[in-house]
Amino acid sequence: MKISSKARAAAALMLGTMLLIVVSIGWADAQVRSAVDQRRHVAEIAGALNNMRMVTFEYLLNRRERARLQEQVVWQRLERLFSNPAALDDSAASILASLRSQGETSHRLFGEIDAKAAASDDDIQRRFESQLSSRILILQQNSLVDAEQLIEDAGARIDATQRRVVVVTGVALAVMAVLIGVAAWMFRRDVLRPIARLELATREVSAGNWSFELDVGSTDELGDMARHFDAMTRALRESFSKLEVSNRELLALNQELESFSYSVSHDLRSPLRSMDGFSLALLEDYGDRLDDEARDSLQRIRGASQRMGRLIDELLGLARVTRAELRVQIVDLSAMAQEMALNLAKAQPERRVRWEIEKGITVRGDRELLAIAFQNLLDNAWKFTGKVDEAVIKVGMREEDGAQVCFVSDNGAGFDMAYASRLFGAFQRLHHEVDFPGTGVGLAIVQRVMRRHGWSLGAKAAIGQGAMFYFRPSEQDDE
Amino acid sequence: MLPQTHGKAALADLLQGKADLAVAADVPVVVEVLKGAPLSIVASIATASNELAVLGRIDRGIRASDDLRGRKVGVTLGTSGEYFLWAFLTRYRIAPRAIQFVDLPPSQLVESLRNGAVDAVAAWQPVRHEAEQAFENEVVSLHAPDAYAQRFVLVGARDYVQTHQQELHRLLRALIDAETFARLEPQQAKGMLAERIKLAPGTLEPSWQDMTFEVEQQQAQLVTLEDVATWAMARGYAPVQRMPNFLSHLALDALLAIGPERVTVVR
Repeated sequence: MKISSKARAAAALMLGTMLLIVVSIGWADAQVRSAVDQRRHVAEIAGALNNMRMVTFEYLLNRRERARLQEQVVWQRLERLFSNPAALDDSAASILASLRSQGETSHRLFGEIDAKAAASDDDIQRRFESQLSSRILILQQNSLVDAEQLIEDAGARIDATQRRVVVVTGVALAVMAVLIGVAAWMFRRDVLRPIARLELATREVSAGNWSFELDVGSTDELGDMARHFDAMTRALRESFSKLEVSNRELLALNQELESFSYSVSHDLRSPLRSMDGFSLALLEDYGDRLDDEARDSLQRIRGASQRMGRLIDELLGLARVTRAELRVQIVDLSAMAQEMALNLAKAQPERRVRWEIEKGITVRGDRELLAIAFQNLLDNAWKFTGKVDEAVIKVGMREEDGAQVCFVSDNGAGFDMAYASRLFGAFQRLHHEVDFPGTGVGLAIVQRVMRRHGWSLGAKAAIGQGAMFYFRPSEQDDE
Repeated sequence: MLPQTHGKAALADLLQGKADLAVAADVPVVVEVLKGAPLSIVASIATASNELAVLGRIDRGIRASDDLRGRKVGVTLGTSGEYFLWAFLTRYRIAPRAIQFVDLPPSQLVESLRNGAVDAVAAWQPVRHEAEQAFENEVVSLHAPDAYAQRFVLVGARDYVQTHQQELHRLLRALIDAETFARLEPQQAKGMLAERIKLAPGTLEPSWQDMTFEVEQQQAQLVTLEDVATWAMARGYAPVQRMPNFLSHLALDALLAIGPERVTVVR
């Protein structure tokens, strides 16, 4: 049975029980009203009977016409009350019928009393009157007793109704309590436990236990959800195992490639050193026997092999940046830039460059890798401002889209933003080597350092107006 | 259960120690109380306002109450039958001396009417029904329902009543059960009673119709008891004395214990 069906059934039962309470309260209200009406009605009759008794005996004692007239009035009132009975049960109706009959007899006998009391010597009349008085007395006493009984009956009806309502309400509340108990038990069994198991499953899966399965047999909504969850984890398990295989293959391939490029770079050094060394030996040992052209060729061989050596160094540097393990710590970029600026100025003291380095720029990152990246950025700035009279190189922080951005800018040669996509590729150059010498690996290294930190690197520039490189140091400082 | 023809005889059994309790109409009980018998009324168990009647022979010129003047009327003296006859005469303003009272035991009432020894009889049920059946249209039944409401009481010796409260509780509970049974299952109750007192159901029917079965102790019964006492002293059935306090002859405790709502005696 579905949870929704169970919920509907429980709600229907609950509503049914509430309806029972409402009906019982309505019924009780009607019963109490009826009993109260009966009590009020009978109390009026009892009042009238009392009045009748008073005036009857006043008349019997003194034979006043006023008392006789009052008896007539009271009797009319009683007749009205008898002819408009309240809603009565069988027993009360029977008592009321007896009351009416006694009232009628009493009134009839009253009518037989002579207007003048019997003379003391009229024995038969005296006894007749005495008999009438006794009969009327007995009838009226019985009537009052009956009226009292009716009032008590009405009270008893009210009490009985209240007791019944208490019992019905109590039973209904007990039924509701049982229903709530059963509903709570079913909710715990059918909803909370499966949800707890689902929660456990999500925790297990998020912790990497892909083999966890709920394996629920119920056919309700949560059972369906559990089966879908199992299907999802199975699909994910398969995808991840495929992905893992691909990753492993990719990693192996990468390692192979790195090791290959490292080996190639390293192995190329040896023949290059031989080329340079033997060219130098030729020049030194046989230079005087060679003509100018041969010497120039040898010099060219040496230049080319040295240049290739530098390229290989750059390549090895690039590989190191990629393979080096990150050691995250707080790095003072301002101090680092300040030191590099001093070194650059010392190397070319003839150049006039204004350095504007903001103080207190710190980030969490790998000091060595960041030093490599910053050295490349500042070298570039130094190099491309070489032909500017009033060179300015800035290192600072600024806010961009609500985040802190670190930048290195210059007012040097700049570049055309149309070629910006090639900027960070290895051995990509946007200027001729004659104008600005270099291998074209520097920015590729900078980008790899930033990527290792999880930071993005960007650039803005215009030809002849300088360039700015910026990155956004974030908390995600691990690869 | 000791069967008796009428309450006066049952009361005699009680006073002679042959029975512990008796059921009788109020008249013989009052007479015995006036004579000094230490009786206690445990409960009133039934009332009848129309059970008694005067049956007159039409051939003797009796068609209405006034026709009884100068006639011989058979009655069991000292019973409720005689008290009814006096109440009947009073109701119709006839002087008792205007008729001749003839004392007859209940068993001879019908026969005396038949053989002409009396012109009329005052009789209770089922004697009355028996006579009405026997004479058919030859007798007239004269009633006076407003004259006297006969009350049947359960009575016992005062000492017995005081010392046997538990037994009385059980007996009263049984009587109340019988009252309920008679109200709910009248046919079955009538059948059982007719079998018990060896009467044809048809003979029992008129008595049943006139009876109101109710176990109670009512204030109103004191009025009747005093009226009957006045009459009994006037008739010479008991020595003339101050009106006794009948309240002391009502044993209320037993009924108060099991059904206090049935006791309306002012106390």
